[in-house]
Amino acid sequence: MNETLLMTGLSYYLIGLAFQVVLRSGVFSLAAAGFWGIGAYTCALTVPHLAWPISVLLAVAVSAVLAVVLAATLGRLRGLYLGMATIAFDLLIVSLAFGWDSLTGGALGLYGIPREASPLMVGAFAAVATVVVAMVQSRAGGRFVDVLRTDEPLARSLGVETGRLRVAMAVLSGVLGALAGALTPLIFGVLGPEESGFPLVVLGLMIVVIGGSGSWVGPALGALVVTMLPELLRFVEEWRDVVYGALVVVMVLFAPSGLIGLVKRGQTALRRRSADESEVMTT
Amino acid sequence: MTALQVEDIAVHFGGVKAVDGVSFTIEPGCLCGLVGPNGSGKTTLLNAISGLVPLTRGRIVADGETVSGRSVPQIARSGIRRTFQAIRLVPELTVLQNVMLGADDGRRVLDGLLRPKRAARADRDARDRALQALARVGLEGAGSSRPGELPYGHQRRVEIARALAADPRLLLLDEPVAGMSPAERAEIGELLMSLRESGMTQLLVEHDLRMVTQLTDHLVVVDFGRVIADGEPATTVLDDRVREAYLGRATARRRPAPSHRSGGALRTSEGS
Amino acid sequence: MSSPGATGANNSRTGRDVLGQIVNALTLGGIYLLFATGLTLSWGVLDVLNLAHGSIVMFGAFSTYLLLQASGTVLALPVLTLFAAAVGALLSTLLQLLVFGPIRRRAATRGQAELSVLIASIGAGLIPVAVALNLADAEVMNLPRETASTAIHQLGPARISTLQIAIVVLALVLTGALAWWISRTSSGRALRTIAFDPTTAEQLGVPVGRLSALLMAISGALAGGSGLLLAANANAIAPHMGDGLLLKAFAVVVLGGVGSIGGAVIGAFVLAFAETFAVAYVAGELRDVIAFALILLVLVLRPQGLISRVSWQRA
Repeated sequence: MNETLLMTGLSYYLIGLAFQVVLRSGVFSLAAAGFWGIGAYTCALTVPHLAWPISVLLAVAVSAVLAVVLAATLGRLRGLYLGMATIAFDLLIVSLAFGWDSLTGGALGLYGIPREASPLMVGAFAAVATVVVAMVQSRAGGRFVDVLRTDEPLARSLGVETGRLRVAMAVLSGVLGALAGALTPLIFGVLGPEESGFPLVVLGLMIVVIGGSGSWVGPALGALVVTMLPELLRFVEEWRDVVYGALVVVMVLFAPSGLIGLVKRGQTALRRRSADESEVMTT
Repeated sequence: MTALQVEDIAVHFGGVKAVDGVSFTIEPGCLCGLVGPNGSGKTTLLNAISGLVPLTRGRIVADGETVSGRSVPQIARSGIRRTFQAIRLVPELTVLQNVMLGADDGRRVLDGLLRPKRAARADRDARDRALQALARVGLEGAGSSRPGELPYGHQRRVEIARALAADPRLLLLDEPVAGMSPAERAEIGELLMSLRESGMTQLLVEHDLRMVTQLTDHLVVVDFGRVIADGEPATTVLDDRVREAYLGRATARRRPAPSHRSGGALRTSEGS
Repeated sequence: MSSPGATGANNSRTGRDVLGQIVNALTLGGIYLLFATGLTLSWGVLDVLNLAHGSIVMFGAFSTYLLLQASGTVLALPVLTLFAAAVGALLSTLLQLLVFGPIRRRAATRGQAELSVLIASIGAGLIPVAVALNLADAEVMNLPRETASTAIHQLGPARISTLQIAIVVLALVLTGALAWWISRTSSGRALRTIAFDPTTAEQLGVPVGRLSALLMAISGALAGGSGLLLAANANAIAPHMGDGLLLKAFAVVVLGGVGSIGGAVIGAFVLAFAETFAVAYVAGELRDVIAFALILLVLVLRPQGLISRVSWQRA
């Protein structure tokens, strides 16, 4: 298999994870795309001067700090207000990426970035991210995010420090987005300002919408599908975004819990049908 | 030391005085009833105790500690747990997981990542307490079901189990038998009585006056945000002011209070 | 990226005259008002945060470009504006009927509906942009000179074009008419009932489906029309021009309060003036940062905006 394709898929997985973390906890933050940009440019700009692991870690650290600041600032917002504010943040990052020529190379972006990424390296980061997310959402942590998503006032009545939890999830999401962003220029050697922003949000959401947002498994599944899509859609090369957009709409309309949700629904239906049948047989 | 002391509290929302100077005391181990006609402020009182609404005036003290002014999660973690009028369970989690939420320590949101060993231990602990709580409410086998698969009365019991899993020092119940058949009401009543027998302090907000007078050892009656009667249930419901509050002045005057034993007039008029 | 107003009759690069900047700011404010009104209405009434709004603005302009190319004739600006508005109305209505409406009906909770609609709108918004990218023959396109040219008048030391006057007048008249419609007519009251609770409205006999579609049509018409006016004022159409505009629309909506038209008027001109003067006298890069900073400031200090959303709750 093509190495670049594998690494792309893994970076898609990381973006999907970033969105899974916030969507499962009901925190409407779409800021991961903006942090992708921050992570990408931080890494791309420092890698010529520092060892690549340090660049990546620096990108993640810078984003973590900014994510804490952003989450604290937007802490009181909920629902669409938070969604809108975080999208505004994403759009601002895109705007800065285009406008701050001296730093980011403006519309032309950066190139000649050393392609230090290897499948093993990206895979290792993905594995660490998986473990982190799985551990955070395990046991009580998983119950906390589920109740937070379902009914925040109830969560508080159960003693859950929801403010802290929301910030933690938003920061984790930002960090995962930044990690995905930091790795991307190391995979391709180039970085352009149009890469974060709406198409990235669509990508992340698509991965979670297709795969499901219950756990890290959803993004894994979703990333697999999404990485294969361009191959399957080779005949609609220029119209790919149209297909992506339409796919998101269709999934939201007909399968909001993703493929995993469809599988579960199928299982429940089968279970119920066999229960009905055995009832019929015994009466 | 009293289990709960409400000291001259008021809750004003803009121009509305939902609670306007309420004081009462609950002794440990008591099953205390809080009743009043619609709009009397009893739900607001419960919300004030659990921290959901801020006090405009006054203080709430539980076991000697001031709880008023603390955040909702803090109050919950200090041992005051409640059920709600509408059943609030998480549909995607199993019954057992829902009850475990009652036992989980909501401060430790990142323990799964930062303190995995402690998280594992806490999880086992929570599971044990949840299983015990489910047994306590008579739902041993229901752990692996989803809340939606249970009948309404059982869901209410799961909610109570979730509160019990926290090993609370004060249990607030907000109309726990609303919408239930007489048989189900009796079952819940028995559960509350058995909880009282094991020493649990409870504050029960209810509409069903008959049930409340039979169950409780202390009754507080509110109307228009004020306490109008406070004492032994059987005598309190016969208090003129209480009868007026429920029946209206004209009717209360027309129908004399029945004898202490039968409590008849109120039974027939309320009928719900 | 497009910079509306910078190539208007009073070029900030050549003139530092305050009056000229005021004209620029007023024009910009008018444009912002036009495309933010649709967004604040759909959000306030239908709980729909339509992130495809920016793409619709762009496609309104772009479709007229296609029309001009196809027909080969030169059409007057008013005609083109109507065409752009019609395209916008069509796209928004389709979105409401095929996507937003069904999603909201099927959603279990309001929060789920909001999130699903948001996600679906992001997906849907990609489509017009992709179409434009494929059908466009240049990165930035222009309207034919005969269409874009407009008479210029002298107003003391400043110059103002007919187009600029038309934009401001149109913006104020249209939003005024909308505000009147919503507050004085029975359909307006029906809309407020829908904003309060769609199920209740349905039970009261309000034709929720039809009114929602109508509202989205109006929102889309304003978006499409504003897109063309923006393109005419800046003399530029670019497939990606919608995204940056969305940021501005957010700022306007947040400043004025969700669902408030009066608030949108204030928000639009506050933003336009802040931007114009910051860019002219401080730094050009500040343009988008101002929008974002205003959003953050208002959301943190006064989340309900300068004019509260309360009016929608009083159904």
